[in-house]
Amino acid sequence: MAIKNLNNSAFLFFLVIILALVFHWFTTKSYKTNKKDVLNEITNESSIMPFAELNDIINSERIKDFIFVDIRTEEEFEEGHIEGSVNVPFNDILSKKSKKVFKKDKTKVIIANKESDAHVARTTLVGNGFENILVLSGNYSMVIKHVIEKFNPAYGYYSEDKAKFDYPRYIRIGSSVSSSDAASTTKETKITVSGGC
Amino acid sequence: MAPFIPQGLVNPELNLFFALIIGFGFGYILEQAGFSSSKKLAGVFYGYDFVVLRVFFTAGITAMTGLVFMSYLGWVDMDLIYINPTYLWSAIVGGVIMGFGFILGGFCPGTSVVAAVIGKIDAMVFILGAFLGIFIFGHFYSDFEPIYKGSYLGQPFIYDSLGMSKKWFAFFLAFMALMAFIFTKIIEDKTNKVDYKKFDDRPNYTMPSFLLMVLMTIYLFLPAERASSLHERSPETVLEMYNSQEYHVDAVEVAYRIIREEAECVFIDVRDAESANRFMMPGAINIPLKNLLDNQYRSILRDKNQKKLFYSDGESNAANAWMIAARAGYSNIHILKGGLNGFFDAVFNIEESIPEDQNGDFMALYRHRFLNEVKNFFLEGKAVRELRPQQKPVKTIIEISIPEGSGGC
Repeated sequence: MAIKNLNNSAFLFFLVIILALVFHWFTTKSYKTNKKDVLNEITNESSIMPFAELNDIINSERIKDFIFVDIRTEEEFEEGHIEGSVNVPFNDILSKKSKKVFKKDKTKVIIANKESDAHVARTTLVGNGFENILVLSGNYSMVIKHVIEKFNPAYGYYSEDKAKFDYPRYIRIGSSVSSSDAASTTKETKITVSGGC
Repeated sequence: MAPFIPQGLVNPELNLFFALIIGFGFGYILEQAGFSSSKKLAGVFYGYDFVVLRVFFTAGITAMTGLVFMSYLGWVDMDLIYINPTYLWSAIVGGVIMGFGFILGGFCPGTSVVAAVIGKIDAMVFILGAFLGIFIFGHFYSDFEPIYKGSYLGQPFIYDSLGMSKKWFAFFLAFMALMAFIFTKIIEDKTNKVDYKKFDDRPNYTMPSFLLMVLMTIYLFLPAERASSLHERSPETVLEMYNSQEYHVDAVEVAYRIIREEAECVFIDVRDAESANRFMMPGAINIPLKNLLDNQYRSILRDKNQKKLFYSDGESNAANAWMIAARAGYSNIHILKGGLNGFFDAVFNIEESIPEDQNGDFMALYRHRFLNEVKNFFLEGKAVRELRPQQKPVKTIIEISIPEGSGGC
């Protein structure tokens, strides 16, 4: 009797796992890279291309190894774009056309109207298993103005995600907690203006 | 309840309640397996009864099979499961003491409780001894500490030390368990001097063993683990959320919250610690983007009733943090539109006087007036560090899941 029960429960255990696996295979696969790897990839310093590097590349042979992917809308792309760039509108980032572009063996560089859109597109694509994607820091109009028309070294490391203000000069934070607070200690130290860009 | 409580599926306050239920179950199974008899327990050492070994191996193999598959299917996040850290010296010394205690007393800690509950006097004496040991250890803890905490190895895994893959290790462990079952049976028969061939009615375990090996073989050849788990949002959903702009918060709203010192919103500064040390928004906490998925921040992100606002200098890193958090299934998450640059632009780069051409546009007028108010508020240094006077202590996962004293069986 006992062995029969054991056999039955072992069989049940087996069946549950097999059914779960089958169910697992038939459900839609959403991501190809787990979120920790995505986070590592997008926080990697070298996954961002500054203007200085872009300028080096477009003036050298290395340009063959790169594809510039413009994720602005089709209308904007038609009005003007960087020579040789491909248009994949932000809203079509998950489409088949986009997959074709990002599957290519070259290094893909995303250009957008807003740097954050480029980051969002890249984070999505990395999650979907695409590799070798860089984000161009800054935005399209900045690229045109400071790299394509004439390279301006002052903007060589421009990024929208860099502080433009010296924050503590504007917002003095009254410490209600204690003076050991980090923010209040910085108040007394003299801070040189960092100058965003 | 390791995966359920840290994942927020079960209220941490129920922890002890579930521990009680599991404890009852564990005790019942120990009793039913005959572990309340010290004769049976000591049999392992004398070779006449290996039931202890078989029960624990079976339990281990069953748990392992369940865990590897559930982890594969994304039902259980292995990172959330607490693993006892290894202190080499305390493991060695503790093992020796435990072995002697086992053979002298006839119980191990768990089984002694089971035996005491069914009224065995020797087990009660055993427990008294255990308490005496605890008392001595506690009293002279400072003397024992170097041994107790000596040679800390972290949380090593056997398969890593052996240089094996997790899959192969699971396979071999299952195989080894089955082999151990057969060999211990042979040893038992030899010691007890029985001829097993005479027992035709001896239970036949071929079928469960076969199924186990089939499962382990399947596990061996499964493709790489799926990258996403069940509770994650799909890329389509995440992008749709992002595009809806519902999760972008405007500078005016943020300013409003700050000057009213409202408690509803927690600012999450995703810049690195250095920048955050120099300046953070009033009431902000710093979670560098790199560390967003660290266990210690999970409880903050998981709180559905707490509005969370990511910000960075611009919008890029905040958007990245938002993307990851949205994918991970967290809700009530937002992005500060334009980041700190946008906020400071809006608040500090406004004209003192009302622009002429905005006559009649009351919204613009009010907005302008309000932002001026905000500007003065900040310039006068009225913003306080802490928005919430009584901040709830944040319960970290570590507080929840460290069980005190592991106690072998």
